[in-house]
Amino acid sequence: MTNPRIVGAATTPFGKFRDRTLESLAVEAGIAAVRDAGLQRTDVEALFCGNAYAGSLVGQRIGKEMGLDGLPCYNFENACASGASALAQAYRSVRNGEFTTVLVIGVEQLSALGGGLLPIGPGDPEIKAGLTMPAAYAMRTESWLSRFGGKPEDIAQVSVKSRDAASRNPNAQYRTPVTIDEVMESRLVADPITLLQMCPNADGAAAVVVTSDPAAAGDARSAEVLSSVVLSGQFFQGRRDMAWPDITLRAVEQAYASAGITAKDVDVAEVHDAAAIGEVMYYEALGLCERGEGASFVLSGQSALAGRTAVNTGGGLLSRGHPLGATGVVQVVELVAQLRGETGANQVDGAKVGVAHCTGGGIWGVDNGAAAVHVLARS
Amino acid sequence: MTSTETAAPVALTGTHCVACDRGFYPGRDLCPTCWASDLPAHDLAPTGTVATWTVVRMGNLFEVPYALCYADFDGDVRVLGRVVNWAEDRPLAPGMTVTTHADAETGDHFFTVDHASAPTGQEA
Repeated sequence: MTNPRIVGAATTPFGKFRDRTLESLAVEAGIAAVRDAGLQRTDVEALFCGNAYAGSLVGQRIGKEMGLDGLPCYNFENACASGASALAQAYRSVRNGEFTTVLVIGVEQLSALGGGLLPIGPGDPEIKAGLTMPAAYAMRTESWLSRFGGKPEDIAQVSVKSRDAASRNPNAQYRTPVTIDEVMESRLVADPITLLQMCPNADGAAAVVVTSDPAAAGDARSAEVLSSVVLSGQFFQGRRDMAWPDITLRAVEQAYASAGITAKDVDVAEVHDAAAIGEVMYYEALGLCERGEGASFVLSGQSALAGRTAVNTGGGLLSRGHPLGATGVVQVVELVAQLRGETGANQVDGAKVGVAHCTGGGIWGVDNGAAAVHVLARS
Repeated sequence: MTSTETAAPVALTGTHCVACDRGFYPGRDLCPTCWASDLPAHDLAPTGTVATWTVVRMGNLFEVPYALCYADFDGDVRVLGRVVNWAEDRPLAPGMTVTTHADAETGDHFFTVDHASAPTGQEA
């Protein structure tokens, strides 16, 4: 089977757009992606939609606005990995020959939920006991520092790098550079994590066009999808290492093996930095550095544009913003732009292979509900 | 905090799968491994050991700030709970001992920590 290719990719700006509708954000990204591919509305054979919080039939609500009604339409909810899960199934349908060309849209409008912490699983025993998302990441941070040493500031350096990248991404939600002192002096959310070490709630949409059309192979702007993996988290009641994300490790191992690459081949990566500690853990889990070296990897600039492997070149979840259902798709939009050489000031010279990684939520006993990894390569 | 610090320990009741030797808290009726159903009730030991902890300063379920920790109990059962006798000048540390309690009205569990149980070199 020939690997599907991504021939169109687009994103809306991310931010808080209370005067927009979810559908209008999705339509903006969807039409832009189809046009980016040089295709037309009538070339789209099916719609795959990822969203977490907007209720049922999100894809149909979008499809009828942009004339994709009547087509096969599939909706995916996997918390923050919803968009990546939609892409994964689009990839499979195209690869299996069911469709030639499909549109994937990830969208979220968190401003519609009001402000503050996301409302997560009220029936979950750990939420009932007082767990918040920042608290979970705070305990991962404490676990990492207890095991490997260092200071909270070392982890927080991720936020400084993230803002620096976002300052050159016009679509990012927070584009003002910050210093490490500003990160550490921002409001303490859950010790030792401060506000600027957690991703903001955002609205936004991203879309990609996936095709098996042989003509795409000759399209220098297309990106080949080498592998696509989605896994669910395993239930552990007992002792577990909160700084060692087993679900990501399993997904990365499968994705690299299926793509025929190793960590050394990765030129640019998008990882799930919902919190600064996430990026540190995922450097290690993706094999970009040794275990325990994640903090020194960012401190020494190895994950910056000029470093060994550039990570989250668009600002990541921390600064580009995290509209849950859109995140897994916008990560791929960023990688496609990198592989095309179209990211301007954030370009990684000669990027050939990119990896997108995101995780989805967490429930009692399952640190992450879902993890998705996609490996892309330049034409 | 005197009232909670002196509250009587209450063992947390979960369930245990005898065939798989797996303990669960909160209890679950079905063992996910062998699918045995109606797992028998099983009390955890009244004390556990802090694995990791944080102080929640932004949240809406309880009055902030409050301390939260994962504690490990015999039988490889890890439980998340609030530590009600935490104070800003009395931080927790991994390895400390917590005692389990239950709210008289709701039955919801909470922990108290023995501040004197700090591992060597981490005396609070």
